Amino acid sequence: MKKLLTAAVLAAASPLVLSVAAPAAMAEDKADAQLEIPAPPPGKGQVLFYRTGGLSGAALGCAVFDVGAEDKLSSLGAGKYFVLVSDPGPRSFTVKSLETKDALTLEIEEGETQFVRCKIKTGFMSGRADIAPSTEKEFREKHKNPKMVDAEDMSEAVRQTNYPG
Amino acid sequence: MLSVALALLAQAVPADAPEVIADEALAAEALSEAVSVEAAPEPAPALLLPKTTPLTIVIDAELGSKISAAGQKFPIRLARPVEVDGVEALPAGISGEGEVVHAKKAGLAGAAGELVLAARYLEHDGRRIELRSFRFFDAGDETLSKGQDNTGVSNVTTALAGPIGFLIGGGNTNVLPGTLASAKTRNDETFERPAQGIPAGQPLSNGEEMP
Repeated sequence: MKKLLTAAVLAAASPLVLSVAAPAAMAEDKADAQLEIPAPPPGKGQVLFYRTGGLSGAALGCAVFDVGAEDKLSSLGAGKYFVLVSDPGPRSFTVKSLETKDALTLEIEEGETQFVRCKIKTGFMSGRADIAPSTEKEFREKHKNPKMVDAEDMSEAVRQTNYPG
Repeated sequence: MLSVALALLAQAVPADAPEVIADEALAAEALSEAVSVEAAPEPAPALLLPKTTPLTIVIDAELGSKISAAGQKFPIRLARPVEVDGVEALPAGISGEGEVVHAKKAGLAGAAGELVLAARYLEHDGRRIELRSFRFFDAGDETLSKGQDNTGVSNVTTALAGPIGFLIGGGNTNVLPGTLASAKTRNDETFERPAQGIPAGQPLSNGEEMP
């Protein structure tokens, strides 16, 4: 009975907690809406990888590799993004999951930023990571609250770009 | 005595006259050379088409996430002329080549087809104008680089109705001949400025047309 009462009190209080937390979240949204993507260094191009939030596949990571490489560039959790600075030219990326892997080749251009979206789609036994070309418009519209991938989830080169100094 | 002096003077004058005439001729020749140098038109400065100049191109082939393959070449042409300082540097219609960088057909679980293209070059007067930064002209949320993405529908269906959601497919993307896209010049390009008084496109005396 005591447990039931506790649960009822928590349930009743949750809207209050949410409303108190809401301004902070809104402020964060406002700040993130002004996210400025830095231009790539001279002579370089860059790719912004992102993954929107959501329940689908939330527990799974989206590890991004260069094709043929054993070490990942970074791993995208739900609602996260990172920027990869690269030499201009074609470059192929892959994401791996338990059941399958997906690959994407881009033509990286000097001075430009390209966008790649990772999604977790349905699989037989577990979710499957899928990467696809995207646009800044889609990134801005569908990724309302972007957060940088944690530094420990990045390769050294990617970390230096995203966490300079 | 006076007559002797006059006779000597009369002999001396004809002897100097040819030198004076020669000096005048040299001066006249030098003057005419100087005038001709001044009158010669200075070579017009070349037209500079700077790198990353935006261009509108037309894709002249049918491409698609299902029917194309990475590495496939396809024809392109310039849709609109490019002018520099009011002078046409690249005329509309010149042709070139693009390349499929990435193509993946739509798959199960709502995965959309993908198509990444690159514009490589245009040819003009026997030279290649290298291109970069290919972009489709996206209309609203529609983009030709991706087909219909049904991942969300597939995930929801799976959550509600089980594995049947896995069987939902995504859509492919198709690019029809005549599709417009944008690209940029990769390098600085210089062109000879056409001679003044002969507008571009007018036939020259030998029947050729100005570029």
